[in-house]
Amino acid sequence: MRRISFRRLALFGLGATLVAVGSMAHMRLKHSTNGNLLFWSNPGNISIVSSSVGSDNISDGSCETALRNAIDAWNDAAGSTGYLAENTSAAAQARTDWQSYDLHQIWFDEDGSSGYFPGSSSIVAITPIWFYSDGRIADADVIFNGKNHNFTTKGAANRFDIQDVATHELGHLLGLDHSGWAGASMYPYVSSSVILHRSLGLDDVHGMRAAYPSGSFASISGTVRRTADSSPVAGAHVVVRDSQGRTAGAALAGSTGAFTLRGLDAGQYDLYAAPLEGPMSAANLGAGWTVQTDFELSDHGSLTLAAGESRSIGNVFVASDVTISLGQNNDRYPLRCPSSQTSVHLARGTGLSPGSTLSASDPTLVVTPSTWSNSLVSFSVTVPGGAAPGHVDLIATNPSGDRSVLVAGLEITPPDPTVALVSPNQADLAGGTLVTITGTNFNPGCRVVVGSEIYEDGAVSGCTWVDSTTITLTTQSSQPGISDVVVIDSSGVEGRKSAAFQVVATPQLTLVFPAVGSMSGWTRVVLSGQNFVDGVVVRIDGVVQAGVSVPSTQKIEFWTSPSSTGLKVIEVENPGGFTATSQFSFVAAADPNIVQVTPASGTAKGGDGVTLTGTNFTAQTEVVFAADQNTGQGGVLAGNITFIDSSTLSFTTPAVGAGMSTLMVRNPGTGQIDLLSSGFNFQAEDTGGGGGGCASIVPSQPPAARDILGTLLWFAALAFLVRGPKRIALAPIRAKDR
Amino acid sequence: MDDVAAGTAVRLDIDQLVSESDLVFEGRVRSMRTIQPAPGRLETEFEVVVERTFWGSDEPTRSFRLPGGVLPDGRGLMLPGMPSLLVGEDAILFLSSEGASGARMPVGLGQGKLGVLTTLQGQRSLSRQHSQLTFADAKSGNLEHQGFEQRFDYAETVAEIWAAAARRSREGGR
Repeated sequence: MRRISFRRLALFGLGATLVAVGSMAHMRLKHSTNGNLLFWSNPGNISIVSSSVGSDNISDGSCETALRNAIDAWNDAAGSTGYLAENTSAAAQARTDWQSYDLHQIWFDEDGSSGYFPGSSSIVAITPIWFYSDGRIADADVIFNGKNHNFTTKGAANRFDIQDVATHELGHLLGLDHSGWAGASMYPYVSSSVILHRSLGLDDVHGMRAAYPSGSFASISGTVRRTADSSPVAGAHVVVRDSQGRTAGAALAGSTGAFTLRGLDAGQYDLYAAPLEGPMSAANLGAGWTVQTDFELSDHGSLTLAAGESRSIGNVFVASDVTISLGQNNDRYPLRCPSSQTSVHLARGTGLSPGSTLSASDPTLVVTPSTWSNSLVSFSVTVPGGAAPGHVDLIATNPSGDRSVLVAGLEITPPDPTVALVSPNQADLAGGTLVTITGTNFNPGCRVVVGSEIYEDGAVSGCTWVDSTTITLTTQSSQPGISDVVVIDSSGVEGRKSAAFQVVATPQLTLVFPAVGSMSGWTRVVLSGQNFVDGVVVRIDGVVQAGVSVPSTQKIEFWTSPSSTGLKVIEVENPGGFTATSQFSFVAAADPNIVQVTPASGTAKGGDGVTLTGTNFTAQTEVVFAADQNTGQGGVLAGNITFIDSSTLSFTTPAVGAGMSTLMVRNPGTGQIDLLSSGFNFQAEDTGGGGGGCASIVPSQPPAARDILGTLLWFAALAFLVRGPKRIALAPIRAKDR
Repeated sequence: MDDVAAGTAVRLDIDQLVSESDLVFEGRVRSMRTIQPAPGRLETEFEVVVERTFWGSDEPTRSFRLPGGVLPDGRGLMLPGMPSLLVGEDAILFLSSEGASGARMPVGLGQGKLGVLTTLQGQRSLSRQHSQLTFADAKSGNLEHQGFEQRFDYAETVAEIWAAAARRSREGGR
């Protein structure tokens, strides 16, 4: 089919024509006015940062792992010095100045603040690239449109796969333009139903080799010309297949028809030239390309390349145009063909007349067309078991013998992995737990994603592929939570077991304060330790305790439930069943309880007389200031403690530093205590001695009782108010602050 | 979900292009100038002589800014997937509303521009992402674009845009 399209450099004025000069392997982004190829001047260390904010669609940390997988895909491109060095420092990830040249960031624009997604934008993601005149890239960032679109890491319907989109956009960030390979990550179209662009195609790898070569690779150069008149063909798609019939390399001819196909390994290749049409066309390329498509797919023949050889093959002649074209951009390519399976597909096009034939470039594949209807062909592909992953051309031939090729239109993949069992299915957040994953279709080179952690086969701190049904790994330190376990094949296909693994915190219990309480219950207890999490359960003697709160990972507070007397086991159990234990004693005596401190303030130098009223004081009750409110440790004993009765104590304040101080009473015989966290105010300067008022304290009771007493005190305060402001000034009401 | 073209943008048909646009018009680019309105932003200001407006207020000329461009010293900003637009070029443009910076975006990136191609014989057609009228055949000087994959019939497409705009009006679209 005769097709000509043009992508020209900027032109100003009439009739002038400036065309792309020369040719290069693969499609690279070009400076839009001078045609210089865009490149990073430090390809071995291209800093990249995933914003710590991530996508607001993803809450389980898998956004970062998806982005990391996309970064790794490019870093794993063999034969290239290009390397995206992920900066995972908290400071870098927290930055929001993505426009800065020193920050190359992947971030999700949830509110349109980037300015690239105005209105109801149909743009899903974009990669602004700043460059200099010589083509050096100064800055590039990947911006996802979180304002208008939803994203997924788990294949959720009607959402875009973060890893798939990120892999493509990172290719642009590296300086690559779109690819004519349907199976390449740089193929211009992605779909929520296709995740095969997560993994690079050979064309992507060759693009990296061409842009940032490491080592010496073979190349083929020549010029594409028309058989009829030897005129050059601009923008011809020059493709090679390896000896297995797999698509192995491609280049786009320049405006003079000249091409150089770089980055090839040693081996035998079949070369052909085909028009860049169908699903990928000139429309998908950046500025600077001239593409002519008025010729037929034409074979050049075989050649064998030695390692590092540069072979010039002269002219590659192409035949006149034909009326058959296979593939359109509204098909979803590549067509996945799992090994050991027969898959059914359709491809659109033109001139796909009944009587045509369809074949794959890999002769081990069996292609069976079922329907030809001029504009589409439906067919099945049977792939033998154990077929290596890779891309295969699909070729249609009409009854006249005219041919059209869908370059790399088929992608051979392994069958989907399945994850059947994860054992054990829990691990401590500190890591170090050996986990065995069993399932099917595991392959070497796979990676396992558990929550925010990636385990790559063979990598340090990675996983170990044992066989097709077994993978082992040792957990890394990670955040508590329940996660999917995902086995991702190097081809990009994945197997997932939802909510299959839980990272839990093993609590550590270091102190129980107080360690003694009344058998009637309602003793306020503080547990100190590590790794306490919300949802923790506290038991004493097997009885679940009430009012448990977790102010921090180092502290639990709760009220005791009534119990029999004696030494009991106190047990702390985090979600997931990990526990820590200690001891708690119940005694028959009631806990001491402070109701009022009079006065509630004094001088820091001490020596002020204070009266405590409350309940359950004894002749041995001690009064301690400035003890640690969580542990009861430390503090200074009051002087001259006088037991007046079980409801009244008097004493003199010790010298304590200025400021609010804890006030604790302790019955040393049993160890029972009561403690006010802001029990006394030591004032820095002498304000005239004591008489700083008194603290009317809500007795140490459980919340419901305390509310009632608080209400009573409120009415008492009202009574004071009615009786006169002078009395009130001396009697401020202070809620008991624990 | 629709396929997307990277960019990455959702693939849109004419109806969707019109319904997603703030402005749809055909015109010829009279001038363009790349400016740096703020640190971290580079935009190109276009002035277009409007031949017809399909959606939005009808004005004889329109000025608007699109992200990207090249400064006189050769520094520039590229957004892969964005269509190019050149002085002297005829095009139908589907533009978004203005963003916070005042710049618009082509709806669906490259889909938001249909270049108008005119043969030496005066026949017109539409080409997506076709940057300019040019000559392919050095011998004849003719532009041969029959069968171009991304080419649209001019009259048919224009009629389709008018119909989409009318539908949007009927449905209460702004």
